[in-house]
Parts: sequence; C-alpha cells; structure tokens
Amino acid sequence: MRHRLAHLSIPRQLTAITMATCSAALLLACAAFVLHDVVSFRRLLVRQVSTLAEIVGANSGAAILAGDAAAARRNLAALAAERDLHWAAFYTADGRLLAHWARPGAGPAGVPAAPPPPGHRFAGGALRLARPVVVGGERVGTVALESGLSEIRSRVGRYAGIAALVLAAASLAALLISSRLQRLISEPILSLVQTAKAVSERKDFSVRAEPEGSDELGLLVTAFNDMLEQIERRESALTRSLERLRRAQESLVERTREVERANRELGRSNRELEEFAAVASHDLQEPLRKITAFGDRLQGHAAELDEKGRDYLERMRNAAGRMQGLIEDLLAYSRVTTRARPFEPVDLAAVVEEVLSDLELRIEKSGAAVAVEALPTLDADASQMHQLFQNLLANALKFQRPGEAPAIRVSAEVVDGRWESGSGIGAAPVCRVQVEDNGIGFDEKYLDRLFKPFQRLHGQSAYEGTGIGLAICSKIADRHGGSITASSRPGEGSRFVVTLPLHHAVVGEAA
Amino acid sequence: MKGKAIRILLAEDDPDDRLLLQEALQEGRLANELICVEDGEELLDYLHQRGKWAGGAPRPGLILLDLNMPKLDGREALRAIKADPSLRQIPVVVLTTSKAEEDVLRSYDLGANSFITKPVTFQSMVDLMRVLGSYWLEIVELPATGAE
Repeated sequence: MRHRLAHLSIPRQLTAITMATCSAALLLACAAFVLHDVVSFRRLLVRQVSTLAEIVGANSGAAILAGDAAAARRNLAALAAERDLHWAAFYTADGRLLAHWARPGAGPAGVPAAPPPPGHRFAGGALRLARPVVVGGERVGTVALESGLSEIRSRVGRYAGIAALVLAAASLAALLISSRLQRLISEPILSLVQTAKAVSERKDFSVRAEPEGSDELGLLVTAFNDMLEQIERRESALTRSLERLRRAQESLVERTREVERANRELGRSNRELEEFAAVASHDLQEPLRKITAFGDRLQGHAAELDEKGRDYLERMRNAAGRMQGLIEDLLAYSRVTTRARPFEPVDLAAVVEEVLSDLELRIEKSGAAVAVEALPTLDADASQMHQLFQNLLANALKFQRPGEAPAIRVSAEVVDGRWESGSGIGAAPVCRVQVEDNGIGFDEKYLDRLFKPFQRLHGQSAYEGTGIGLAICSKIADRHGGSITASSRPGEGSRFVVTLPLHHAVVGEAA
Repeated sequence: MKGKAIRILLAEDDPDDRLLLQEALQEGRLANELICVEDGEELLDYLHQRGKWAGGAPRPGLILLDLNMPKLDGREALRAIKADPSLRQIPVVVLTTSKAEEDVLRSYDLGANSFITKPVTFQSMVDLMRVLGSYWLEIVELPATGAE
C-alpha cells in the first residue's frame, strides 16, 4: 500500500486514504441494510404464504376429507389472485395428489406427485411451503404452495440503487470534506518540506517552519526548528573558528615570510661578509706579492748585508710566506660558498682516487698505506668533495707519529638519517664517510676548536699549516646539508666522520 | 725570425710590477726589448701610433696585459685589439693577480692567447719570462708582419 501510494503527494495520499475508508464503511453499511431487508422480507413472505395455506386448508378440509377433488380445485383456483404464486396442491392423508392449481407458464418445476415435507424451504429461486390440513383435530391431508421471489428481487434492486446513490453522494461529500480537512495535516508537513528544501538548497539556516498547533506535527515542526537553530548556532561557531583558523594561518604565513626575510637578509649579509673577505684577501695579496718579490730581490743582495740583516730578511720572507698561505686559505674558505657549484651525482670512489693521485708524492715519501673501501655516489659539488678528501687525507698524512708510517683507511656506510639544510628537513639515507689514521691524534677537549678557521693545536715548527683545512671541510659538509665530527685520543690516531645526505631534492641547483 | 728577440709590450699600471718584470727579463738574460704603457688608452695609442707615441712606435711581437688598469681596463683594450684586423694577430698574454674563473673565461672569450696569474716569488717571475720567451718568442710560428 505504502509502496503504491508513495509516488503521490501527501494531500492526495490523505484524500485517497479518507475516500477508501469512507467507501468501505458505506459499502459495508449498505450491504448490512440490504441483507437485513432480504432476511426480514423472507420472513414476511413465509408468514403470508403460510397464512394463505392455512386459510385455503381450513376452507377445503371437508372437501379433502370427502375426497372431493373438484371442490378442492375451485378453492385452489381462488389463489390465482396472488400474483407470485406458482402453484398450489392438496394431498390426501395417505400422500396422494388430490387436486392442484398451477399458474400457466410458471416455472418448469411442476407440481410434485408426493407432498413435500411440512415446513418451508427456499430453493430454485422460489419458496415452497407445506402445511397439514386438520379437521376436528385430525390431520386429513396436506396443502402445498410455491411462491416466486420476484418481489424480493425487485426490492433488493431498489435498495442497491438507493445504496449506490447514497454511496456516490457520500463519496462526494467525503471528497469535499477530506480535501479540506487533509490540509490540517498536510500543510504543516508541506511547510516543513519547503523549509527543509530552502535549507538544503540555499544553505540558509536562518529560515524557520511556521509552528501550528500542539499535536505531533506541531511538535515535529518545533523540533525541526530547534534543530535548525542548533545547526545555525554550530554553523556560526564553525564559521567563527574557521575565521580564527584562517587568521592564525595568515599570521603564521606572515611569520614564515618574516623568518624567510630575516633568513634572506642573514644570507645576504653572510654573502656580503664572504665577498668582503674574498675582495679584502685578494687586495691584501697584491702588496704582499710585492713584499715577497722585493724580498726575493733583496735576497740577491744578501751578501752585502751583515749576519743580523740577513736574519731579519729571512724572518721577513718567512712571515710573508705565511701570510700568503693565510690569505690563500682565507680565499679558499670563502670560495666554499662564493664559488659554489650546483650539486650533481658524484662518485666518491673516483674523487678519492684523484686525491690520492694528487698526493702520490707525499704518500710515497711517508711510506703510507692507504686502504680505500667501497664508497657511494651522492649528490654533491664535485670540486668541493675533492677538497674535502684532499684536506682530510693530507691531514692524515701530515700528523703522522714520528718513526711510524701512516696507515690510513677510508670507508663509508649508508644509513637512514635525519638531515637539515637550507632546503628543508628530511628523513633520508645519509652516507657516513670515515677517514681513520694511526697518527698523533688529539685530545677531544679541543674538538670545538678543530673545525674553526685558523685554530691550530700544534706550533708552526712541529707541523706547518694555517689551520684552515678542517674549517673548510666543516663548511663544505655544512653546505651539503651534512656535518663533520671526529674522535681521537692523543697518540692513538684519529677518526674523522663526515655525514652527507645521499640525495638532494633539487639536483643541479646550488643549495 | 727565430732567435731574433722580439719586442714585448707591457701594459701595466703598477710601477712595481713594471720594475719587477723588467728585472726578471734581465735576470733571465733575455734580450727582448720591453716597452711599458700604463693603461689601456696608452696601449691603444701605442698600437695606433697616436698621441705620445705618434711616429715612433715599433709593432710589438707580444703584448703582456694586466686586466685591472685605470681609464681603459685590460678587458676593453683586449676587445679593441682583437676587433682590429691589423692588430688581432699580435699574441696577447693576460698577466694579472686575479684567479677569478670569470676573468679567465672572459679573457679567452675576448681572444686572449694565454691567461697567467702573476707569480708570487721573483724566481717564478723569472721562470715565467723564460717560458714566455721560449714559447711565444721562439717556438711558436707567427705571421710575418709588415710593421717589423
């Protein structure tokens, strides 16, 4: 039922339900009336026919007793006035048909030869009735009659007509009334539907359904309105917190921009400082070159100087040489960033091989044994990788223990690690390169100083150098988003560990 | 031509360097004549025999050129020399304190024949003059010039 009605609108559904209910009730009522009428009319008919039978029986008792068939027939013929009567008959006490009358052309069921059983019976669209004929307290025969039911049929027909009229009128009235009354229920529902539509289509949570009455529909509307109000409140709360979030995000973006600006500023002043160092050391080189050159020229006249003069000249030339070294190192140090090249895949094994061939003379001279294990390929500045290994291996060769040939081992392992650089923070495979030697080592309390420019742990006379090599290594590692550290004990060799990320997000662009 | 000492024209604003190169040439016992000019403008004047050098400026066989000079610097002078069909055959050796890569690239781009960083010690300056002498002045075959 629900299924078939569901495609109709609520008002139509309500009207249909009302109409169906009314029609069913009216039909039932009409049927009951008709049935009642049929039953009571039948009773009436039985009484009438019974009375006829009793009258004709009483009038013909003597004739039956006497076996006077002609008299009996006359009496029966008098019944012809009863229009519905089919036939009438007398039977003797011993069950013989004495006399009968039948309406010409009446039903095919003719007069039975034997008396029907006493009482009445409706059969074959007719009422058949038999009554004993009693004379002086003694049963002398039987009278039987059969009456048609055409009267009942016409009555039932009339009733059915009236019922149909009443039904039609009642249905019309019901239609009119229900189509008015259904609004009581359908209108609040329709208004609710309108409201829900407005909310879902326009996202406007401020509309309200019109509350009517205090019945379930009224409650529904009120509940719906309450719900809308809650949604509206939450919506506005949500909007407010979204707004707060947006503002927070904006201020975060602003802060990030500020930090980036500051970073850029810092990078710029850093670059300026480095450029200044580069320019300054370049300009410092110019007069120094003259000091060196004229010192050399003066050396040509050394014979004309006394012992003291020659000593002064020698010291001056040494100092000039050291200063030249310092300036060159300073330039090399600033070049790590000012002459930076883009990262590209670099095979460390090839780099170390090149460095070892550059250092060949010193390796041969010191009798060093250098063991190089498998080294990876990583994204880096090739020339800086060269410099890194050049400095580390040169140090390993330089700081040898007196009387012992250096034994150097270069190895690497790839591990997962966290790294940080200008381009961001990431968890990515890093390469940990180790350069170990059996040299003089150092006290780890000097570890901080080790990687700072121009910091030296030994006097010039013992080991020459300006103390820039490891500072350059540290700067190179830093520029590659990596780090450098070392572990050692005096007299027991040192181990330098450089950690470098294997990959950079953007290869081919200077970080 | 071989064995005959050719004229070297040195464009250098620094009097110390002019002196040192002169002495290095003598120290190396090289018989080449060294003519000095002090800036790019004077260099071009010499080559075109103008101004101070009008009339008496024999064509050099080699130009030693400093990059950083007043008035007209070495780069501009180099460009002018290599753009001039009558001068572009003269070998130009850039001799400077700069080691900057862009200076090296730019000089070769402009047509410099060599790029040499000024040596620090006097001895290496002598060696340099000797090598220059033997390379540009003896080994390399240069076109004969009418101005000689």
